[in-house]
Amino acid sequence: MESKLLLSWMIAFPFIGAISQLLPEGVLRRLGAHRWLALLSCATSSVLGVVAVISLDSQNPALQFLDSFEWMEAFSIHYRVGIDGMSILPVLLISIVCPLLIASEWSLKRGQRGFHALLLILQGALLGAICSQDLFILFFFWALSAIPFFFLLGVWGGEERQEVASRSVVTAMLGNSFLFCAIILIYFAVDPHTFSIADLSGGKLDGARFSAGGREWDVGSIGFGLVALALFFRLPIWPFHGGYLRFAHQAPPSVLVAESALVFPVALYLFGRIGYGLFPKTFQTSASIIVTIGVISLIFGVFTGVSQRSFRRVLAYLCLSQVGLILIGMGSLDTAGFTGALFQQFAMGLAIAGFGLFLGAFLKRSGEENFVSEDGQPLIGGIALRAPTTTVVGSLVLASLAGVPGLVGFVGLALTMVGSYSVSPALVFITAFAVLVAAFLAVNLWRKVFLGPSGESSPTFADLNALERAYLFPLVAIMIVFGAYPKSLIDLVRPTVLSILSWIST
Amino acid sequence: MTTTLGILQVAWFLLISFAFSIGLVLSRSGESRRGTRLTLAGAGILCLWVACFLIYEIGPGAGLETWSHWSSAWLFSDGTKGQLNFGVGSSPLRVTLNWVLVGLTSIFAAIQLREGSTKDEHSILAGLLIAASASLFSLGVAAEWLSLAGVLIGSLGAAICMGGRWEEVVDADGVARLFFGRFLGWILFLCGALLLSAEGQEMTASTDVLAIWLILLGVWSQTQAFPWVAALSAGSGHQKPFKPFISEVLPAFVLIAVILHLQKPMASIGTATGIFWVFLISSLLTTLTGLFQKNAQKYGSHAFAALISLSFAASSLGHPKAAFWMGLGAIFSRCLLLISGGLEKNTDSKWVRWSSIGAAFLAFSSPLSLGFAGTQTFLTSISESTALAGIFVFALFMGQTLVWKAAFVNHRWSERQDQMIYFGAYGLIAIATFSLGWTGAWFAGGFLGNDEQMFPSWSAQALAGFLTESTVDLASQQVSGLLLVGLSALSIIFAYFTSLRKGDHWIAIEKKAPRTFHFVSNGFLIEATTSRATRALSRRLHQFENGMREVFPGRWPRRILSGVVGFTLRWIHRAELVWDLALTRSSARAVNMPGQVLQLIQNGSVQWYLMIALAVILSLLAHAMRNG
Repeated sequence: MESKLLLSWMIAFPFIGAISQLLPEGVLRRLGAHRWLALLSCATSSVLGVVAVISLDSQNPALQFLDSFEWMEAFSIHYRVGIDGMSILPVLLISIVCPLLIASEWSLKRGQRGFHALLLILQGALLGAICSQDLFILFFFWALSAIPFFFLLGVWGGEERQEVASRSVVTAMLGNSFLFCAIILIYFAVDPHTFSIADLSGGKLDGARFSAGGREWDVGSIGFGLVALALFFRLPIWPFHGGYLRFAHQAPPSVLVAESALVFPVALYLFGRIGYGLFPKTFQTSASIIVTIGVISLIFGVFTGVSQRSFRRVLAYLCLSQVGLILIGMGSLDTAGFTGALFQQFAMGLAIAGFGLFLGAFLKRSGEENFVSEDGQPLIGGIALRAPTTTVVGSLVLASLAGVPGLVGFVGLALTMVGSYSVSPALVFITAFAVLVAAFLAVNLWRKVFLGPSGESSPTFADLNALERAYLFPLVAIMIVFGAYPKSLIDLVRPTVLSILSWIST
Repeated sequence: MTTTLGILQVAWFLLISFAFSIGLVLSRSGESRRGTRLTLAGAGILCLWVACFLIYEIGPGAGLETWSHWSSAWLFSDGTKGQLNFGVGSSPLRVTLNWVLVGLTSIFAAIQLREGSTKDEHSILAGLLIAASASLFSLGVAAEWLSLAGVLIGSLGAAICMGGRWEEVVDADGVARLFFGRFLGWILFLCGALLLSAEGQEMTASTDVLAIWLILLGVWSQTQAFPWVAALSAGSGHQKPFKPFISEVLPAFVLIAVILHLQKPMASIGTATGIFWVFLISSLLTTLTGLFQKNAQKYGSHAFAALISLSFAASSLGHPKAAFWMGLGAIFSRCLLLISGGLEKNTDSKWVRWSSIGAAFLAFSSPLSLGFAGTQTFLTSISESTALAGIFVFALFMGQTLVWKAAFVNHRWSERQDQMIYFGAYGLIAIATFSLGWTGAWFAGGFLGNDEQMFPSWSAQALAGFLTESTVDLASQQVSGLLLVGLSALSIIFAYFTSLRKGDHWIAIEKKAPRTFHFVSNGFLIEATTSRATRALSRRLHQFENGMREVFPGRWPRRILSGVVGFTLRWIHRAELVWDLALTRSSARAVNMPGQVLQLIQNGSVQWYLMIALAVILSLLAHAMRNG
């Protein structure tokens, strides 16, 4: 597939947009040009992302739209980007969600330029991390993606924003240090030394060893462990999800969406990409551990979510459970399970984005972060008849998170369950049980917020305005379209999944 | 041919989607003019009818064999493992159910239109269209696992139908229960379907049995029979008949179709006596909960759930046709019971009373009805097993008692002076109940091309002794027929004396044993207990998590880390101080020394020429050492 720098432009446009926010104020500010420039650059990148997805040759599992330039030839570091079936879903997710995030902060009063610039940097960094085919470049973009959160949280966050922002960036840096160690280890494990993912994939690291402390160590085990540890530092996985809970409590809704709906799916994607690609045998031997971690996160997330009173905490625990579900799919080592895990990353991103953006619109009206009081009485309630559009959007988002058929959440769930059968039939029941509790949580939340008599915080609750409809309706429409006909995406993913899984079977 | 069928399938999907969308639009059209609402509703109903004709054209109309279907891969490509298909399936049974479903929906829509412009008219019409299109979708899709998903989507119709009462706590809880109940059933069903489809031939027999169990449990939960009865017991009992029609009757069509779909896998595991007992006990307990209700409007709902559960019991013993007839009979009876409440405006209406009794009669008591034929067939086939037959007869007797009780106390709900629409609707459904019994074989065999003779045209004849050609033993047929008639008579008497003549003895139990009454009337507190247990577990986990956060990611590592770092830093700091001090002192000495020497010379303490002599000696000594 001829590249014509498609992916490079896709990655570059957000950075150009971020730089454009530095343009002098004055006439531009009066015209509101800064935010239009931000949206334009973000949307252009998104359009290029969608073009890349549409143009992808579904029969070809290899990398497509490859761009490659020498960067530090002496160290075999190249700027090399490309996508295959595995990368298209995160690319599509970011292409869909980022413009909506920019739009959701269209009326931000304080520091809008900075906010938009940071979101654009995040978009570019995440797209770069997904498309990178060189570990060094991948690390560069992935490490860069942590920086915006320090400012987004530290400037626009809640009362404890500075502490949480510091903790967030320190945690990310700690994770990045592990990733860097792993990359260096991988680099020196092959001869000639290389950072190229393509050159390292397919089990080439199997059997590689290195000496340290007078002993021989397996590169696969240590490297995979470091990568897993690095990425788990950026993910809400039990019991290391405390930081994320605090993040969820302090972050503005759009920043919460950026972390939960964009960074987590990308972290999971990278885990799959590096794990399956570079360490197939180690991944295979670690599958049961991955599945166990997934099951614990899933069960813990849904059960603990039931007793929460705050929207933000519910979102955080639902996120935890979704990550658990995806890990189960990945650990199944099954075509359906792995495809389901990839699709679920996409579905989770859309549904969590919907929930987060809906939450933002909701908080502007009620200002109430809790939906029930300490004694379990609804604080909001009765919105369905006064704000029907809000109700429809909120219901669809919740339904997708619960895995209702016809919505995008169902597809990933069904495929993950199909795949988990190959691990153990009992896993199907555990997953189903957790999904049932998630449904209970979603229905309970829905009942307390939308139905019943009006609560203290919702006597006058206005329906969604034009701007909110403009960014929530497309999201919900996409959730329905890909829920009703997921095959268009799965046909693109499947050849690459089969190719990657073949490395494990051989 | 294939192209035409493909176009018809797409057209069918579009029509169903269109009807569903019209329902959604109607749900938002509370403020619009009535004419617009009626036009939209009419268009939606028309779509449903056209979809019915299309499904006939796709299947029997095309002259194809029964159960033929055309599907395309939904998730994965054809022939791959884990493939889940999505397509249209058609058979005489499905066509029949489609027509009956759309016919009944049209009748109820017409009743609503005749009721006039009420506050919740748009909600009811929207609910009808959404639920009916979802049920048609379930009947039409080729994949069994998707058919129950339609029921789940259809519950949206039931929720919208209740739109005017969403602010009532009881009804809001009812809607939430409905959704969760449907979802629960769907998850069970999906697990079973996945077990059946995931591995195909590699499955063991025990997995097969487990899969069937799960599917049936999923279907069972949709009947709202015990232990899923809480939604029926806890609702306020919405006075109009549309909600029961949407949330009970329309999904029941799909459940019957699903049961018939499962003939093949069920046959592979043989007779499922365990499942039979589950359904039977469920029916009995549902009846008991129903008899203990104080709200008269709930009798019908409980009775319907109990009868549908009974028909599933018949299915589990390998008699899907009997189950089909029993289920369809229960559906017709339920619809008649709902409509009879509108037959007269007067509260003490004799029309309401007698038509309700007629509806109850048609459920399983009339020898000419489908329900009777189904029950008779089933009883005949299990007559050899006294225990099975005995308990089934007892459950049937209790179910009929509840049906009669519902008929005796059926309430009036219409506010219209002109009741002709109700008489018309009642007559149409009653005729359908009889005519399917009498002419079903012609209908199925002649019109739909079904060689298996789905409908029991011979059943009434068998009772009259006119049967000449049948594989079923005539004597057994007559015995079971007479048994059913006797059972009906007995249940009428029992219902009359326990519920009507000198007050309601079931409700009187509340005064004598209030806790027992509360326990039974609330569905044996299954839902309350489960919900409490879930919340308690959730709270415990939350506490555990808080504790863990305090101890694990909070206190321990922080203390250890800060201890290690602090200790190291303190030692580094001390070492630095010592080093710095030593360096400072040394520097000071080094700087001070020449000054001090000069000071000594200047003071005269040391003579300068002695210093020179000392320097010369040291120089000579150094020179000697170098040369030596």
